[in-house]
Amino acid sequence: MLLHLDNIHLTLPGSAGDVSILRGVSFSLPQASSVAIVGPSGSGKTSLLMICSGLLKPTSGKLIFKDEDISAYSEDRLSTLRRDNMGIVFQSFHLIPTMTALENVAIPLELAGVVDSDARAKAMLDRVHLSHRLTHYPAQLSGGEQQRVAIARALAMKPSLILADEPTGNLDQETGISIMKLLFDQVKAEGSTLALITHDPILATACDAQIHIQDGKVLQA
Amino acid sequence: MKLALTYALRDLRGAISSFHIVLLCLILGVGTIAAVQFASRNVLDGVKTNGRSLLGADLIVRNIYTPAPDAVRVWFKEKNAVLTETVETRAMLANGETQDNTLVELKAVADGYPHFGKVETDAGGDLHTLLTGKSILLDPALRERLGLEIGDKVKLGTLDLTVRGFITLEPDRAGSMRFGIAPRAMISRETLISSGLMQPGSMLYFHLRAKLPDGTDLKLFREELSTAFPDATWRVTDADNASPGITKFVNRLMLFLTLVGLSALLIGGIGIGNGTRTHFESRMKTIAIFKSLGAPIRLIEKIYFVQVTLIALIGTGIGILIGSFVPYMLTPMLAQVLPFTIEPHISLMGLLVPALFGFMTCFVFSLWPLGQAAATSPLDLFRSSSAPISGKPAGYFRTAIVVISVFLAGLAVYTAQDIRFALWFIGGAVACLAAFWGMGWAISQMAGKIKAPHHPALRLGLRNLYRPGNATANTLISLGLGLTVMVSVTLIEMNLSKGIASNLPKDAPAFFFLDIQPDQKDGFEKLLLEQESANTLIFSPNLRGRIVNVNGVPAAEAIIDKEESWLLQNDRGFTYVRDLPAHSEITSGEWWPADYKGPPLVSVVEDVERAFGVKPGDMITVNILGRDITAKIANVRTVNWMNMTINYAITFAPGALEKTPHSWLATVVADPNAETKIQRVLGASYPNVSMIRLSETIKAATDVMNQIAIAVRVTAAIAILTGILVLSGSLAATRTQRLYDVVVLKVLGIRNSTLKQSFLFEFGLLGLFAGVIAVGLGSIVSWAVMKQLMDLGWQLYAGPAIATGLAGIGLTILIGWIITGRVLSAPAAPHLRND
Repeated sequence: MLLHLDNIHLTLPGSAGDVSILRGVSFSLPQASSVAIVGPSGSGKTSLLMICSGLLKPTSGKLIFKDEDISAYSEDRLSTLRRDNMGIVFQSFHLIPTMTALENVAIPLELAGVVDSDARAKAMLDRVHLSHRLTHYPAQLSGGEQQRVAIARALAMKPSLILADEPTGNLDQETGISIMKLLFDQVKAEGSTLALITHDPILATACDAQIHIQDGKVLQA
Repeated sequence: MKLALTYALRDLRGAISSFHIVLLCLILGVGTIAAVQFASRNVLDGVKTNGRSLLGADLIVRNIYTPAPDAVRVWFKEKNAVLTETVETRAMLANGETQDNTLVELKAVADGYPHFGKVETDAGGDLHTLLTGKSILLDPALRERLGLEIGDKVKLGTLDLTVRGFITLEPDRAGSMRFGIAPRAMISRETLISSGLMQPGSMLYFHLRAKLPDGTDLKLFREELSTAFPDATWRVTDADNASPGITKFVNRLMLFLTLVGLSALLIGGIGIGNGTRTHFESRMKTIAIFKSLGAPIRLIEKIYFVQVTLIALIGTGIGILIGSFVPYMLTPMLAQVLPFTIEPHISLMGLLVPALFGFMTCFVFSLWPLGQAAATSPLDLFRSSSAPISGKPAGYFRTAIVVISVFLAGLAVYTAQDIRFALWFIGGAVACLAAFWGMGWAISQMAGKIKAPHHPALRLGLRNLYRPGNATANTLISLGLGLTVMVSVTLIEMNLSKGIASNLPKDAPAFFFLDIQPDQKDGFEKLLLEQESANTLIFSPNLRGRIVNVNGVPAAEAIIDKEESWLLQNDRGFTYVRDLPAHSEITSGEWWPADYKGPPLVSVVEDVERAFGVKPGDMITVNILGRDITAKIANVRTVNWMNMTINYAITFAPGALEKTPHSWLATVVADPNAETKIQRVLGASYPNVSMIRLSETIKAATDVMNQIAIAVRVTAAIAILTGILVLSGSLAATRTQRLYDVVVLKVLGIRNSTLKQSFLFEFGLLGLFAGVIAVGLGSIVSWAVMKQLMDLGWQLYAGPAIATGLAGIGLTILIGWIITGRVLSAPAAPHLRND
């Protein structure tokens, strides 16, 4: 098992009192699988993904990654864990606007101290068919191209866990299909695990499993 | 660190424009401090390198009344010193034809003078050849004042002399007596002896000037001199500190201008804080991305620390570069007022001080937003819009801010010659900052609480003052501080230039007469009182001497307040008097009875009380004409020196000094129109009596003040300019929000004129508050400087203060209009489409 969530609760302070976001969520993500996280808006999907990535600490519960309890890890330790094991893809791409496509993809490699970071970043961009856009800035790329750069960045460190938050939400259907193909190919080729938040039932069906969330609880896993 | 540098540089691509205000604030503040530091240090270095010619000797032994004893001359000669002697005194010089006269600083020189440097005249030739016979050389100012030309006859004492030329350069002028109170006249020593000016008790300064063998250690030599003559009361000056006058003046001016420059930098600091905050807010997404990609928080902090350092480096560098040009531009101007040529150069301290001020100010104001930004949660990436950076930065950021602030204050104090002044300034600056910030906060809170008026423009204007992200506090701080500096400077200048003249009491004398000999007293009195409008003639016995010890402790050791060490720096005047002098008030002890005939008693002013911590009953010993006189302090009195009437720091009761040879000092009140005639008549009959016209002295002081005021005003203007920049920056940061509001309001049907009125109301109100507070604080600051620091009178000149306040209102409206006015004409449609 790559990641296991055990009775995760998340309560956040709000102006009108504490808000309970997740209420006893438990599930596991097996290695080399794809899992769709589905549910209505406000059900707690994004919060769940943030907890999986270590960007948000649960109020209670255990988070086991590769058989190790990471719930009490410090922020820096979680950063290192994320750098070496996870790739995150956002709906809004979130590329750094002042860096070129190549520089954006090279960031995780540079953070990890990879010597030939530029060469590996180039190879990643080649894989997503963007070798002709290496020196382009995000503003000079189309939405689809930006998302491909973001995926190249997320996959650059060959992560064992890919977390994607509606990666095709801002793209047209055709581009969306090509983006998803890239992600599924990665799962197959590298044996990664993909956790995907989506509202698209077809996309959810394409995954190996589905987790339905409603009101902060898992309805069906 | 390499990775942090790489990312910092990448992140700055296209973002450098967001640092424009930060850079300009830094450049202005650092540039001002650098200019002041470089220019002042150039002058001070000039004093050092020109020490020998500024003094005209390696070492001068100065005696008052009598020349240095022969034993000293022998001692010097044993040390292979070459000696010459000059005598300086004040005297009246009259045009032989018109009888117009004026006070001059007379210098009688002997062969060998000067040992170093050269006195130059428009007549050319050798100095001593020109002074042969009944000859005199004059300051060029006397050419116009007395209508003199080369070859004309003048009267000096009992002598008729011929003007042989006008002095174009006297290299040791600044190193001799005072710094240009009256114009110079130069004669030979033989001429002085025959002039009748060397009367017993006359204020004659004998300067024994020594040229020492090359390589003599001056400090060691002085120590040997004081060991050989332990009881000597002379003053020694050497070439290592040739002109304490210039040095002290430049140090004071440097301190004041540096501190005004520092306030410009502090105001700029607000802009630096705002600018870096805006930059970091625009970088929150980038920071969140870095974090989501696994970048540790330390790396994020390093990236943005590197950016702040780079900006500090660029801003400080350019500021120093600009500041370093100033001495080159000032050199021709300084050459006209200084007796030596300045070699413009960059000194290490001149470089370090502004650099440290620049870096530390930049870090103090940018570390807080940096710490806040570094703590940005990557969760923002999952939200559609991000909130402004907020919250507290990590503890080590807060610690660093406190530590750097302490260092910044420490540096200001360390570089200041006058620590008390620097501490006052720093305290004042912090208090002003707090006052403006507090008022800004209070105004925005009040604006939110008071019932909104019905008028839509007023309601909108009021809402802008308290809505989230308002510029209320920033506007007050940025413009208010600059205006406060301007109001303070204006009021100080008005008080110094006009205050002295306009506040003189009715009994303020028109003349001070010095060196009236005892046998001249009656005749002088008779002749003076015969003159038209001459009245209220007051004679005071005038003796010179030094404070030797206090309660048996040597004076130099007994002094507890170094601010009052002027009491020991020169010979002091002493007098004896029966009745309490005018404009004096007893603060402790009792005035002596009119018929007092007991042991010596003295009355001391509060400065003496502060200097030595003495009280009535304590004993003080003074040395007058070589005789030690110990007296009991009978009382302490406070004196209003601004009234210009005769008053002495130490005044004896009758009985102790009458038998000591002394001259008399007199003051007389007269109509200004009669002054010239009185001066001419008295000058003709009593050529040895020096006459100081109060009106001329005040004018000379005012002229000096006006010259300094220009430098101060330029620096204050820089503080205002910085404030304008900061205000522009903080208003620009609200533009997006204002644009959005305007677009929505336009959709809802608001008229453009209503929007304009609301903006006018908002900025007018802010300007009004900034102006009113600045006038209040500026008045307090000027009062503190005049009364507490300079011990002078103060009054509020409402006109200039209010004018400065009104200028503040106008400026706020203008800047507000320029920066945000354009959003009013923005069409709504494109923005709605983009939204």
